[in-house]
Amino acid sequence: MAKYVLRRLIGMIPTWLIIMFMVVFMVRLIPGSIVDLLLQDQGGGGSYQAGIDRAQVEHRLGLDQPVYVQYVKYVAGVAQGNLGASLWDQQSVVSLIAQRVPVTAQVALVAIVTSVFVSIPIGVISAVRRDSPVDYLLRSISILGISVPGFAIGTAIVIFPTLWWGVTVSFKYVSFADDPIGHLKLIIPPAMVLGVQLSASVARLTRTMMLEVLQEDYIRTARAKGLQEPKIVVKHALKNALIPVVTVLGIQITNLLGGSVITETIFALPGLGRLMVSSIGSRDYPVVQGIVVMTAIFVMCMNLAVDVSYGYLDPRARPA
Amino acid sequence: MTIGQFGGRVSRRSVLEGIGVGALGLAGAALLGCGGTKSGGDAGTSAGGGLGANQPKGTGLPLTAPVVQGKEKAGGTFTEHTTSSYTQHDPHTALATNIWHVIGDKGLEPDPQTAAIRPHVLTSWEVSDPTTLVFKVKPGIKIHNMAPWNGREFTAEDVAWNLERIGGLYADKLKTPLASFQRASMVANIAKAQAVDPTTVKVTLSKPNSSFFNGLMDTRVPFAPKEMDDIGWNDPLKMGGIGPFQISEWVKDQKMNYKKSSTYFRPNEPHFDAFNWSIIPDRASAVAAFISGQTNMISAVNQLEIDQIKKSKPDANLYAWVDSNWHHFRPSTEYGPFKDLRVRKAIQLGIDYAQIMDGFFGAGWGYQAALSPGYPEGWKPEKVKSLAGYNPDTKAADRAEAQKMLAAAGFPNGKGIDFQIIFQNTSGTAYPENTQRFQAQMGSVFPEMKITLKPYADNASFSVPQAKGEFQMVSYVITASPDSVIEMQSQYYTGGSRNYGHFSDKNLDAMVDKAQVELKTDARNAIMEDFQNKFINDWVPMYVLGAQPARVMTQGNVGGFDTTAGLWYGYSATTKACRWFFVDK
Repeated sequence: MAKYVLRRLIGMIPTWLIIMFMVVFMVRLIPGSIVDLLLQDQGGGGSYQAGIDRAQVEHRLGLDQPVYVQYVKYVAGVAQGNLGASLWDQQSVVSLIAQRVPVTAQVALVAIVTSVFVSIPIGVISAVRRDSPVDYLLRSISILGISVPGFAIGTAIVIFPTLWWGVTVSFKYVSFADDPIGHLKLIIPPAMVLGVQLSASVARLTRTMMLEVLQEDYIRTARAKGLQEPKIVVKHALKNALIPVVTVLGIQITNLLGGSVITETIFALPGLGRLMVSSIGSRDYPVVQGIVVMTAIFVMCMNLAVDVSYGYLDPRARPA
Repeated sequence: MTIGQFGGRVSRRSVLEGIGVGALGLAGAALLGCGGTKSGGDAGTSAGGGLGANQPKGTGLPLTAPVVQGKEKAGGTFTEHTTSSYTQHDPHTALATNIWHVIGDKGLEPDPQTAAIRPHVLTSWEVSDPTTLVFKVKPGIKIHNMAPWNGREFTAEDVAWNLERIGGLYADKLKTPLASFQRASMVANIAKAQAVDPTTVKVTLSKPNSSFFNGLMDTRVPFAPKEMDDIGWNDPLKMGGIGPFQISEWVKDQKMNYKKSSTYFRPNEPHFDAFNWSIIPDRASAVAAFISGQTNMISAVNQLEIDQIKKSKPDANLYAWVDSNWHHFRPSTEYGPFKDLRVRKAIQLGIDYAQIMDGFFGAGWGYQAALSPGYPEGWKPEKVKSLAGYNPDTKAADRAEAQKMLAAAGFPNGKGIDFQIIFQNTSGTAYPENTQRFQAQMGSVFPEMKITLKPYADNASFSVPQAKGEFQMVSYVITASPDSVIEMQSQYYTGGSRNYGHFSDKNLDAMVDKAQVELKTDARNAIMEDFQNKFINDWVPMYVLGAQPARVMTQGNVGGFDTTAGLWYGYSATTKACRWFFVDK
C-alpha cells in the first residue's frame, strides 16, 4: 500500500506541473490587466497617458518578463513553499490562503457531515420502501434539492426571513474561539445550502446502489439464514452499496469548493471562495494561481484518498 | 489679507479678488455665509422638519433630506457595509477609497449642497501674490493617540509634507513614478511648501492655479502625519491620522472597525463611539442586513429596494439628491465620421436623454450638459432641459434637424456610419440599458446607422480599451472632480488624463490654459460660460446623458444625516459620519 501511495504521489508531479503551466498562462489571458487597474482612476477610468508608466508598473510587478520565465520562477517558488505575494498589498499568498481555508473547510465539513447523516438514511429508507409513498416523497425531495441552484436557496435563506420577520442570518463574522455559538450560526446556513445539493445526489445514488445490492444472492442467503432485516440492510447491504457513494462523495467534496464561491459571497463569509472571486476581479495573479494550485493539490489528494479507501471498503480493490 | 477664520471671523474684503477664483468664489460665499462653519453644521439638534420633509436647498437641485426628530443620544456603534476591504493604503497614490478617508482629514471641505469651500484643517489663507499662498493651520489638532505619535500635534510641517507629497514632489526620493501620485492635479503647479511656524504654511506655485483651493477639498487628498513614509503604508493597524475615527480592527474581507478619536478637532464630534464597516459583497444580503438592523445605512438603493425596505422598516429615512456622477456616451474622434462636427451634433440632437435616464433611474436625475450642475458655474438642469437636443418638447423638431445635418455631412439616414459601443456589462449598472436604449433611438432616427454593442464582463477588462482609446464610442460614468477647470482639463484638453476619446481642439486647450491661471472670479466664470456654450455648439466632444440621482437610506434613529446630504456628499469623505448621531425616539 505504501508503495502504491508513493507511486501515485510521484505520478501527481507531472499533473501538477501541467496545472501550474495552465493556470499561469490562463490567468494572463483573462481580458484586463492588473496594471490597468493599478493605473485606473478612482472614478473608474484608466489614465489616458498610462502608456508612459505601464512599463514601470509592469517591471515592478515582474509582469514585463515573458510568461514562460514567470512560469519557471513560479514553479521554483512553489517548490520551496513560496506561492508569491499579492500584487495589491504584498501579503504572502500562503498566509492569505491559510487565513481563509478554515472557514471554507468548516462549511464544507458541516455540509458533508449533514449530507452523510441525511442522505444515506434517506437513500436506504427509499430503497427499502421502494415504490411506497415514502419512497416517492423522498425521491421528490431529492430531485428538488438537485434542481434548485445553490444561489437561489442561499438567497432565499437570507431574504425571506428578512421580509417576513425582519431578521436574517448575521453578516458579522466571528471566529469559533471568540464566540462558538455565534460562529456556528454563521457556518450552518451556508453549510445547509451546500449540504442540500450534496445530500440530494448522494441520497439518489445510495438508493440506486442499495436496490442493486439488495437483489444480490448473499442478501437472499442472509435472509434465508434468518438474520434480522435491519442487520441485513445495515451490515451486509449498506457496506457494499457505499463503495460508489464514497467515490461520489470524494468528488463532491471538491465541488464544494466551487460552491463555496457562491455561498461565501451570499453569506459574507471570509473563505477561500470569496478570496478567489475578489482576486479574479482585481487580477491578482499570484493569489488566483495560489488558490488554483492548492485546490488542484487538494483534489489530487482527495482522489488518492478515495482510491486508497476502496481497499478498505472492498478487499478485492486493494493494490497488489 | 486674511479671508476667513475657523470659528466665526469673516473676511475683511471681497474674498476672491487676488486669488479668488471661480469655485473659489464659493469659498467666499461659504465663509461669509457660515462664518467658518459651526461645529457639525446643524447636527447638534434634531428638532423640526419631521420625516419625509422635502426641502429644495443649495443649488436648487431636488434634495430630499428629512430632519430626524428626537433627543440626541451620545455614543453607540454605527455600522455600514461595503463590498470589499480597501486594498491600497497610501492616500496619495491610491486609486480608490482608502482608510485615510476615515482616519484622515482634508485641508478644506465642500458644503455638501452648494460646494462652497468650508475651512477645515486649514482655517484661513492669504495670497501674497498669485504664486504665493499662505495657509493657517488650525492649532491644537492632535494625531491619534497611538505610537509613534501618542497624540502629538499636527502642525504646519505635516501640512507642508502632505502638499508636496500629493503634488508628487517626492516621487524621486520615494522611487515612485510621478504618475502614481494620482491627485497631483489637485495641487497642480506646486513648487514648494514650507512651514513658516507651527501653524503657518507657505506654498509657492510655479504659475498661478485657480483650482488650488477646490483641489484641497477633494476627498481623495486627505492629510497624513509626516512620519508615514518611514512607518510604511502596508499595515492599516499602524496608521494614525487626525480624522474623527481611529483604526481599532482590520481583517481583510471581514471588517474594518474604527473607534472614536477623543481628540478630534471639531468640538463634540464624533458622536458615535465606534464606526464599523462590515464586508458584505452580495447586494441582496446587504439589503437584508439593513432591514434586519445589522447596518445603519445603505447607499445606492433603487426603487425596488426602497419599496422593500419601506415595507419592512417604515421609519427608515430616504435621502435623495442629484449626484456628482454623470453618465455619458463618449465618441472617439479618431473614428472617421466622428471627426465631423455635424455628425457629432446630429447625434446629440437625436438622443432622447429623458428616455434613457428615466428608463434606468426613474425620477430624480438631473439634466447636464458640459459641467456638473453642482459647480456654481455649471448650468442647472432646468436650463439644460430648455436647450435644443435636451428639450423633450422640441425633440421631434430637433431630430428632423439632426437628420438634415447628417445628410449634409454625407450620411443620409446615417448610411455609412457604422460603429461599436463598448461598455461594462455588470449587474446593477446603468451601462447595458443606456446603451441599448441609445442603439434603439439611433435606429429610429437614423435608420441606416449601424451600431453594435460590445459588452465587457468586468471593470478590469473594460478599462483597458477605454484607457487606450481603443473604441469608437464608450458608455460610462464619471465622478465630477471638485473643480470645473480641473474637470474641463482632464476630460477634454488635448492629452487630458480622462480624454479617452482623444478629442483635441486648440481653442479649447487655450481656454483651459487661460482658465487655469485666471484668478478673477468673474473672468473665470465668463470663461466657463463660454466653454459650456461652445461645448454644445462648436465642439460636442461628449454626449452627457445626465447627472444620476443619489439615494441613501438610514435607520429611523439616525440623525444629522441631513447636514451632509447633497450633491457633494461624496466629497465630504467618510469623515462626514462624525456629524451623524443616534436619537432616542
